[in-house]
Amino acid sequence: MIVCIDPVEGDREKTRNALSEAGFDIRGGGSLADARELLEMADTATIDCLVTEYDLPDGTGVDVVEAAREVDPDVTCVLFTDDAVDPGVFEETIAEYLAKDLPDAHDHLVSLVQESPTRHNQTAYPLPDAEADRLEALGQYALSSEASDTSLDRLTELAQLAFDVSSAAVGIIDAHNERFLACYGASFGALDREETVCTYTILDGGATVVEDLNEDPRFSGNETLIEAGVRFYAGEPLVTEEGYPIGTLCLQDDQPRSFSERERRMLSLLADEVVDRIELQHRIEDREAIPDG
Amino acid sequence: MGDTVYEFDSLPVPGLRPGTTALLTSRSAERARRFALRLFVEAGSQAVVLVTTANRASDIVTECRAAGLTVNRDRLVIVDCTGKRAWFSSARVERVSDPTNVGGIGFQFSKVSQEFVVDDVGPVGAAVFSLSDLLSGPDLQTVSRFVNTTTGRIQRTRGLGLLVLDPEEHDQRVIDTLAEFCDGRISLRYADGESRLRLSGFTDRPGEWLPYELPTE
Repeated sequence: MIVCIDPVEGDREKTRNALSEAGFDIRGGGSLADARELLEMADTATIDCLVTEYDLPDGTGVDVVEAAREVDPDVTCVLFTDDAVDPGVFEETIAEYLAKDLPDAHDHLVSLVQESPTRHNQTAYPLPDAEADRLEALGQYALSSEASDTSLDRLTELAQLAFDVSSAAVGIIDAHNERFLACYGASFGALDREETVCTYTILDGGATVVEDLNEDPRFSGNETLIEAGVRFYAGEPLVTEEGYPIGTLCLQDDQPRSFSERERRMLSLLADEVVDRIELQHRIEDREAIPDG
Repeated sequence: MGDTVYEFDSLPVPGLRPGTTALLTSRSAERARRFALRLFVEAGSQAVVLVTTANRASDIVTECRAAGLTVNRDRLVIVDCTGKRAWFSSARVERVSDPTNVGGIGFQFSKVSQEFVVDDVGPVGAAVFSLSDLLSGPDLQTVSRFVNTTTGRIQRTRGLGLLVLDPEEHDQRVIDTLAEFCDGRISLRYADGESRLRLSGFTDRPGEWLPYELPTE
């Protein structure tokens, strides 16, 4: 879905038509207030892109971009305008810019928007190689905390006890969020992917250990983690049989601490056990999906 | 077009496909700039856009001329974030208040890139001299979003991008994070009277330190 904000109805219709012809579902408005309302109503998982004019009756396109990032930090934002824009207005707000008065401007806009679901070009975190393939592989697993069997709960409890940490969790990283299949010692709801350490864990093959999050420049300003009281993190990627990292088995503690090679090995073994459980469940579901006869 | 790569005759850098961005690390900002400009010359860049955070636009123009780049207002654009007094420049200069205005830098970069696309000018070389100054203000996540957006833009326009960073000024985790957004890293060093470079990320294994020499001015 594309959210399109333009105070001039004729221009908004031109943009809507161009994007609709390309197969997108469009929600439109003419003001910052309209944008906020549309963003609140929309299921954030389905906003592919935001396209906004600059001069609005109640604000600017930069205000719209800031509002969009509060709702969905990953959303691709495009400032589509022929207004004179002072570069000084942006500060830390980042968006793509496309001049409306370019020849074939709407064709360029469509190309830009078409790339947005797959390229993740405006995320604040790096992506693993072959992210599109990884997401496609993840989509084949019907994973939810309700559907997962109690073995994952037992494994997270075992991890919490074995490592003597505050909590342990099995997290799944989808396109924009991390959600938890099992968690022991804490209760984590779904998190924006850019707020998580786990999104960095799936970049590399082995364990990611952060002995003190306050001392790590990637996470020291992360308010979500600060509010959760997380100071230590260790995570091992969960890698499917096809080789795709779909999530993590991770540990958290409220004090900084070290993590030995022996502990890394233990975490790796437990993560393999988690993957085996997930793959087993997947095979059972696949078999149950085959009609009899 | 699909098989086209940028080739570098006098530098030990492998062919790079259009749309590549490299993190270019060097303790010497001047050495990094000279290297970047030489790379653009050898890649046959028909236009160049350079973000400068510490050196005024006129000084950058001098370095471009010395490197052998075409200097005129149609083909060389400098996004000057220094806030230093402007003199007449042979290149086109766009201004941003200071290096911490990463959104403004991205806006100017985007505007110029589009104009080159419309004018069918290519290949385009794009560089940030340097990311180290951008990191002095906004948090790493904001700079990461800027780098991600920039590499995406370079990829779409099939240009060649170089983002300069002083590795001594930053935590290794910052460097590694920013390198993840790029297609690879080119490290420069100078020791015992010799310039050397090392490539990593473009192939499965980091390369060795290889000697290189830039043409004398």
